[in-house]
Formats: sequence, structure tokens, C-alpha cells
Amino acid sequence: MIPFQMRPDEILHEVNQFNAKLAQGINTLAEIGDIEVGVSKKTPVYQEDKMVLYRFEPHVKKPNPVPLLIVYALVNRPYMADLQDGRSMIQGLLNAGLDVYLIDWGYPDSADRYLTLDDYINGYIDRCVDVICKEHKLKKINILGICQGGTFSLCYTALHQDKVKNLITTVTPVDFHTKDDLLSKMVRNVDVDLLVDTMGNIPGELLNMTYLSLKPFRLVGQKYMDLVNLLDDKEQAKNFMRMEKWIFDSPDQVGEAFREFTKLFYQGNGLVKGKVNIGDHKVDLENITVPILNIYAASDHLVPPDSSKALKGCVSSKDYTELEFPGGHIGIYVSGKAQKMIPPTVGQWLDKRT
Amino acid sequence: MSHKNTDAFWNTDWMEQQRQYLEAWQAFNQFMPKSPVIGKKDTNPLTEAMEYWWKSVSPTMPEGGTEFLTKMMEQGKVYYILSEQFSKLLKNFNELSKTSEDWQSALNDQFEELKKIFVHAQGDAKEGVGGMFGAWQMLPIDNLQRAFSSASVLPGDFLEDLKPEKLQKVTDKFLSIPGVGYTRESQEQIQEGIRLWNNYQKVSMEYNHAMANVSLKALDTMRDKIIRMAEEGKEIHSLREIYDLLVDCGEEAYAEFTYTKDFSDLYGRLTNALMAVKHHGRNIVDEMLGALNMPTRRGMNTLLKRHQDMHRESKDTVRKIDQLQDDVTALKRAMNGNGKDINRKSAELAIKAKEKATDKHKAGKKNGHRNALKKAVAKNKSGKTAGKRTTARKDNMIVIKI
Repeated sequence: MIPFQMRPDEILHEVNQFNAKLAQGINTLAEIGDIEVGVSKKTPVYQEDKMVLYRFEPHVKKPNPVPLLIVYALVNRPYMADLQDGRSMIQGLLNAGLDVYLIDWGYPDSADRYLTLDDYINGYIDRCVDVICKEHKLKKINILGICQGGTFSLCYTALHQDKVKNLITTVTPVDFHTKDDLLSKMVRNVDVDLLVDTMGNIPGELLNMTYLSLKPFRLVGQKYMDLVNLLDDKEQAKNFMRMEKWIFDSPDQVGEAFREFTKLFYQGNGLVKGKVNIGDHKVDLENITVPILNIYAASDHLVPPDSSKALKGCVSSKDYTELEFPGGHIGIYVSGKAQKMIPPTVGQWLDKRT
Repeated sequence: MSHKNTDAFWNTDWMEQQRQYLEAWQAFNQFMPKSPVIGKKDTNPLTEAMEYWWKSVSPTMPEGGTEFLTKMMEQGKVYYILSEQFSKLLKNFNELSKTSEDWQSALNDQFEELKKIFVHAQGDAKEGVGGMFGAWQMLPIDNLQRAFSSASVLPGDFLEDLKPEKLQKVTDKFLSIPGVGYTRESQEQIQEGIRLWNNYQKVSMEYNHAMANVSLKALDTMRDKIIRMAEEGKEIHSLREIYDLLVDCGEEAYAEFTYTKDFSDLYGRLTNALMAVKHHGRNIVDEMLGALNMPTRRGMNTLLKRHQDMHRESKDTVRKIDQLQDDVTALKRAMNGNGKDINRKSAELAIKAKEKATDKHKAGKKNGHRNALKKAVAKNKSGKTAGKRTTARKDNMIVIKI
């Protein structure tokens, strides 16, 4: 039995519909206008070089007395956590009664080329923590790390545990040599010294394309075919464009920090082997005893679940919780499912430990 | 074959149908250009028309929307190619007897044609006719070259057409000549540059070849899946299902290769080879700038590093000063008695700690001799004890010996 149950005229009709939708889509896109991102009210409370620490306006009268600092990754922009109304993790955390701060790393340029991981972790992050501690007259705060920001948060906690009350990691790579980590395999044999010495800062565009290379048929092709079906709905088209804006809004990567991160973490898998040094200090995850909530995404193609789950075997925390989100690396922050699951869980988990 | 495929439609010329359809579309669509569509020989008329249409529409698009829609256009082309190929296939099926061997043979023929279209289009990918495989295969290379171009005085593709096989005869001769005279160094630099570029081109071709194999594998997998679907009685009802199947098979074949050590090695060599070319170019540019007494990249790096080190030290210093100022303020408040309790407490603690340390120090000085005496006594005592122990041990030893 031949599986094709259609006629050429039906195929032509389908192509006709495709074209009509595409033509209509031009009109829709022309009407979309500016794409705004970030919905929650926030105020810059501390600034240093290009880094800005924001505080979001709490949604409840008496928020959790221990503030939560969100440490974002160096790649892409942090507004992904506050993308739009109803698709904002930060909105959810504020609704859960938390007092939320966020680090925005900004867009580094060639003058920042020699910033190191030490500058980021023992410098910027530590000073942000101090600012928050001082403001709230506390010795410890809660930290939530996103992706690479989670890895930074782990390093920070291992080195400054006296300032961390609870730690939440989300889609955070820990073991960089799991068998399903394509990103790691791609960079494994790249001469990172030559790359950084040649390029200086690493262009954000290079990173974008590398991420697309992980699933090229879907991300370069199929995704746009799916969009054709959304183009007759202005709101849906706008949502899609908002995500596109975020995906391709990639700051350049500071050369030295990129060199260290790629060599120590991706190539050397130093975090699980205890071979990472940040500045003069050795990062030993075994030192970590604070309560940990480790959230990972089951269908994550950038940070495989096994990479995140490796954390359990590396830390000494007796209070360790894992949460699996049934979705992907980005869906964990922006999908409707995530809004119902992630922020309330984080809020409750922190409330119990405050 | 489907029960639907019995009408006179099967005698329709596919290309003619597309042209008629496009004429209707053109009339309907206000954006279509008025000039006649003159395209390349043997290209898909839908694709051709879309390109012309897009050229006329894109200038009116809002900023940011153009690049985005270009991506959709690329996929539209894949769609048209699939529509053409599978319509041909369906027409062929209708003319065949319905035995399994017959339709599978027609399927094989059609996939051979698809392979030619998709895989061979790869070379034209930069001109925008690469379709699906062209776009994704070119991704890493195009990506690297753009990065290369963005930081070089030379455009990223300035040697694009100098393929190793074309260069071979020229370069072999040139590279074998040793540099002589006062320009020896610059001759050697140029030779080294060509050697590095040659190497990059070789690796780049190797990469293209590997990716072409992935594309072929994807189409083979797709054909096998269609045959399996037939065996299992599964049906395909739309062009979109065919497209999705192609995407699935593409990802499957791609993953099969990219998760191997060979891919990791190849990708590493590709990046390293291109970076070696660029690094060499940068050094030459630096040398030229240096000769003109102009700032060089190397000099800038030294400055930037020095600046960052100073910046770091300065931040540490500021932090220490802030901390000291806080301590001083707390102490002052505590001493004046007008501070808040919390500050007073911490200040009191600090004062007490300081006093203790001072007392100890003083006591240490005053009792220096006494302590020395005490130590000597203690040593004597412990010596005696040790002596006793020794005796005891000796005793024990004697006992043991006995």
C-alpha cells in the first residue's frame, strides 16, 4: 500500500495556502510595531561598569524577608526571565511573595576583554550580594542561577557560603562531559587560546549560530514553517517575534572569561573534578552544605538533564531537592506550563527555609 | 496508490499548473512586480517567482522583519521543491501498476532526483538557492567566515574561490621557493599565509563532504521510512507531513554524525584552521601598523590588560576603604554613645577584642621573662617525663627481653 494519500492538485492547494498565509504575514508583521520586553517594574539599585543590579517592585505587602538574587548567564539577555505578561518567571516569583533582584551583565565591548571569571564571581556577584545584604541588614541571601549563571552561583556558593542562605539552580550545567552534550563535543577540540587570542571578545553572532547548529533542521527550517500558521494572528506573531528578538539578542562574550569557562568547564570538566580555580581559590562543590533546589528541563538540548543532575553527587547539602520540568531549555522560563509550576514551587521551597 | 488518484488531473502538466497558479496569484497580489519573471533555466517557477516577489516587497518591510522573512522564504523554497518532486512522484505512481516493486522503484528514482537537487544545491547556498540542506550545511562555515570577516581588514570570502585544487599548482611552486634578500621575512610571511589558507580550504572541503553525506543519509532514511510506513499501513495526507518527515530524518542523520568523535575532531580542525589564517593575518597587519608607528592590536591588548588589572586592584582597595570606614563609624558612634544598639554592640565587641589583644600583648611583654622561665620549667618537666617514659620503655624492653 503506497502511503501517499493525496493528489497533485491537493499539493498545489497546500502550496497556495502557504503562499497566501505568507503574503498575509507581511501585512501582519508590518502592523506589529515595536516589540516591547520586560513587564515587571524594576529599579536599578547598584551599577558597576556595565553591570546593573535591579530590584523588582514586590507584589505583596510583606515579601519573604530574605531577598532572592537572580544570577543570569553571560549569553543572551536577562529579559527572557520577564518576557511578557503571563510569560514571566519574575512575575511569578513576585506573585509568590519574593523580593527579587536581578543582575544584568550588559553588553561588553573590547575594553572589557580582560574581565575574568574571578572578576565576575568574586567581584561583581560578591559586591551585588554585599549591597543586598547591607540594604536588608542580613548576612545571607537566597540565590537563583540561570543556566551559566547557575554554574556561577555554584562557584560563588562554594567560595562564599557564609553569604548564601539557599541556592536554586535552573538548567545549570555541572557535568560538561555527558554523552548527549553536543555543545561540549563541538568545542572539545577547538583551540580556545587561538580563538580568543585571535578574536578578542567572541561575537554573540558566533554563539547564536553555534546554538542553531545543534538542531539545524528544526531551528533554521521547521520553526519558520510553523510560524506561517501563526501569521494570521497578530498577537501570536508578536509573541513569536519577541522570542526571536531575544534569541538573537546576544552580547559578545568577554574573551578572557570565555577562555576560562570553555577550557575549565567545557573542555576540562573541572567543576565535577574539583579542578576549577576562580582567582586564587579552588572551587570545591563538596564545600556546599546550604539547601539546594536543582531544577532541570527534561527536553533540554543545550544543557542535558544528566549534566544538571550530576550536582547531587557533588555537594554535601543534606537538604537537596530536584525538580524536573517537562519541557526545554527556554520553555522552563516562558511557557504557560512553566508559569504554573516553577515560580510557585520556588516560592514555597524558600518559604519553608526562611 | 490512493483511491483518490483516478481523475483526469494526472494528465496535467505540473509546471504549467504552477505557472497558471502564479499568474493568478500575481494578479491578486498587489506586491508582485510588473516586470516579467526571467529566471534561471530549469529552476522551480514557484521559487523563481517568490524571489522576484520578495525583491519587490522587502524594501517596504519594517526593520528587523526583512531578515526574519528571508528565513521563511528559504523554507518556502524547500516547500516548493518538495511539492514539485512529490507531485511528479504521485503522477508516476498513477502510471504504474500497483505492485510494491514498481512504486518502490519509482520512489527510489524520485529520491535520486531529490538528492541531486538538495545536495548539489549546496554549492549555491550562498546565492540563496541552497534550500534546506544548503542553509544548514553552510551554517558553521558561513558563521566562522563572518566572524573572520568582522575582525579583518580583508573580507571573509576574499579567497573563497581559491580552492586547493585550483591553488595547488601555483602554490606548490611558490611555496617551494625559499625567501631571499632583504624581503625574505615578508616573503616567508606570505608563503605561510597561503599555506594556512590552503590548509583551511582542505578542511573546509572535508567538512562539506561530511555534511553532504549527512544530507544523503537523511534522504535515504526518509525513503526507508516511507517504505516502512507502507508496510505498516500508515498514510501521509499532506505536503506538510512530507516536510516534517524530511526534518525528522535530517535531524536523525545529523545527530548520528555529530555525536561522534570524528565530528568533534573535524569541527575543531575547521575552527582552528580558520583561526590560524586570521591570526597570521592579524600579525601581518600589526607589523605594518608598527612600521607606521600606529597603535597595534598587540599594544592595545597590553594596555587593556594593564587597565583591567589596575581596575581590579582599585575596586579591591575601594572595598577595603569602605569596610574600614564602616568600622570607624561604628567605633565613633559607640564611643560617643549615640549609635544604634546594633552598631554599639558590634563596636563594643570590636573594642573588647582589641583590648584583649592589647592586654595579651602587654602581658606577653611583661611576662616575657616569666614565660620563658615557665617554658624552660615545662621543658624540663616534659624532659623528665620523657625521661621517665624512656626509662619505662627501657624497663618494658627489659621485661620483654626477659
